[in-house]
Amino acid sequence: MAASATSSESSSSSKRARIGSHLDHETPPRRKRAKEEEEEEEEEEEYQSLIPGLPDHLAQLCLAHLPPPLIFAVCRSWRRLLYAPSFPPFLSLYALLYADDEPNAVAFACFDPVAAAWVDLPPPPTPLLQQLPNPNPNSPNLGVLIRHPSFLSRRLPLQSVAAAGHLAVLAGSTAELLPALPRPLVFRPHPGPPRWLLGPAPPLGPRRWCAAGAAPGGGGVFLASGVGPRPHDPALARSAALWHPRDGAWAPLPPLRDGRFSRDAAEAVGARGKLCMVNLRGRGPKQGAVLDLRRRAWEPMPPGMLAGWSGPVAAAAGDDDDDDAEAAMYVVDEGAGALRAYDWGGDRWETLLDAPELLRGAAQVAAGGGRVCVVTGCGGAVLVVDVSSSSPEPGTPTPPPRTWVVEPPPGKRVLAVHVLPRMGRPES
Amino acid sequence: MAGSSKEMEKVLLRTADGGSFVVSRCVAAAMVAISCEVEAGEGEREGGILVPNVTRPVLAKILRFLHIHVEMAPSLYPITLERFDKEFLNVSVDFLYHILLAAYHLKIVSLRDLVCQKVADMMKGKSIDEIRTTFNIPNEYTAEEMAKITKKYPWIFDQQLDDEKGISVEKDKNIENEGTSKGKHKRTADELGSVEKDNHIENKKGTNREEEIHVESKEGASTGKDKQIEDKEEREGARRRRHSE
Repeated sequence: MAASATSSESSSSSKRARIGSHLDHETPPRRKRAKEEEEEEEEEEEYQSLIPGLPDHLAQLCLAHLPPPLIFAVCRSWRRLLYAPSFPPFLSLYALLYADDEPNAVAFACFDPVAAAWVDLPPPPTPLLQQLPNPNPNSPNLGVLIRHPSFLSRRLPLQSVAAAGHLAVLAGSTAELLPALPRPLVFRPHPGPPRWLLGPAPPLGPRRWCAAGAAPGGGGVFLASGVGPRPHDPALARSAALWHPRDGAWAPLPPLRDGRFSRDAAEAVGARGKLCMVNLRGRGPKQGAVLDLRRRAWEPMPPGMLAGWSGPVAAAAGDDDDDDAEAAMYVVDEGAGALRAYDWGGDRWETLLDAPELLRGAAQVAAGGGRVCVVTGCGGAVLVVDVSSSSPEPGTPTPPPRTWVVEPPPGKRVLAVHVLPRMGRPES
Repeated sequence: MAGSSKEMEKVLLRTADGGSFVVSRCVAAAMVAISCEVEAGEGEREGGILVPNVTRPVLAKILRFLHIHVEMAPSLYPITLERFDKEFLNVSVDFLYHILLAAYHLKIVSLRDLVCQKVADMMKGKSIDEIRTTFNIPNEYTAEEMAKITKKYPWIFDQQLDDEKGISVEKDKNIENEGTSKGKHKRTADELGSVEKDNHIENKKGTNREEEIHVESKEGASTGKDKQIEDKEEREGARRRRHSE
């Protein structure tokens, strides 16, 4: 191809000099050559090169700069590339779902925002499920208790965390009110084919609930305190540990001062080198604690952070320490129905969006890729808020952020959402 | 490092189609695929180094890039380099592909990445139909499928979709494109024009392998005016060609 370049260029230069010749219907030499090559290749196999004239591995490098919806729309080979394991994955919204009529059967699905469609996760393989107390061995769903027949008004916690590119289900209860997950159930969407695995058992044993979150800067899964099979276990109530999915074991962290964080399922939110948590979900007087991972020491939560922690909180899980230095933390004030961002300098929460009709009673929130995703009360919808806008001119009012609503698949409700890379698929 | 005397020594590079260039060592070594030969001193031998996988006009273009980015860069502002890169890649899609393939084969990662970004930038400004036409991609989707796809995309992570209408299919930028494509084609014709002139000169001169086609570094062009450098080089090159005829 290189050898003939000069002659073809000089012969086509006269044709090329015409205005807008790339819109011609007449086929210039380059296209004729590419077409002939394509036809030859089609006879051998149904192969469509990504960008005719370039080898695929270089075309891939070009396409990696394009917005995913554009790649999705141009042609089938581009769309296949978008989901190929070798191509940088776009972020998607993962959800734990339950059916209205079967609240105790939890299913996993992923909302692909480029295709604008829900995709079920492949079910955990049977050998994995057999290691969990699953009341229905034939069902691919995770058999944990969300609604106890004696406590219909209250949902028992099922805790999941997105950390280091993995989705980890960490704590829940069985019908017998014992820990449902002796080991974390973990899903890895990317790279390679999506797969499920079991993580190592947490130190001091599995929990019915705990403080759980993603360590900042891609540090892995953080777990602290909580309640195990025995209702009263002071050592467990004070413990803390960290697990990165590439490691085989949990790494212990300095214990808490006392067991007050065991009273409720708590979110531990990792941002700017720290893990922040409170000991009561929702509104009401509570206590907070912050673990500084660099100093490996617990410290009290700044008063402004604690005062505004009035609902579910999330931070965007950065991939590395550079991302983490600018990490933002968000709270949904479930009483007022407002989304706020934490101002690290001023120790106060700044309101981004006032939307009581949508956000009141919010159950859980996840952040990532410039968006905050809120599971609205009762799990009937996910509100996606754009928090990525650049700062406007000083003096002009900030426009309210854009929002979109994602509805769960029919008949299902959302327990929790997480932001993670899309699953790899060979064909789409 | 550019500037030390060893780096500024001249080496001879040849292409399979009869091209011959004398450049600074540091420029030649920036092509990682031949850097071992450059380090070994092969460029100072009689036959020089035969650069594989590239034709004369493409190598000329690449050497120009490396001259600016390797030799001139320390004395240029970043914005000057940016402006140079933008002008440098304002060529036909065909020539862009040749540059990309050569940058890949010669293992010049920065140029490879720059061209890939450029190809992507050319696509970003276009509607889906325009992309397919310009890059010769068949339309495999039915009208129904396209209607489903191009309804306004509600949202994705990471990127803002600026248009309210999401991804556009219509060819509503014809006039703009005609303007830019006209500019591009004109540039190509110019380049090809100078290329053809060079061919002519080489044939006449026979085996004179000391031709330096506007890739020698310039003293005193360190004020950061890239346009001036290019113009100056162009004029010097033309003057030399005229003198040797």
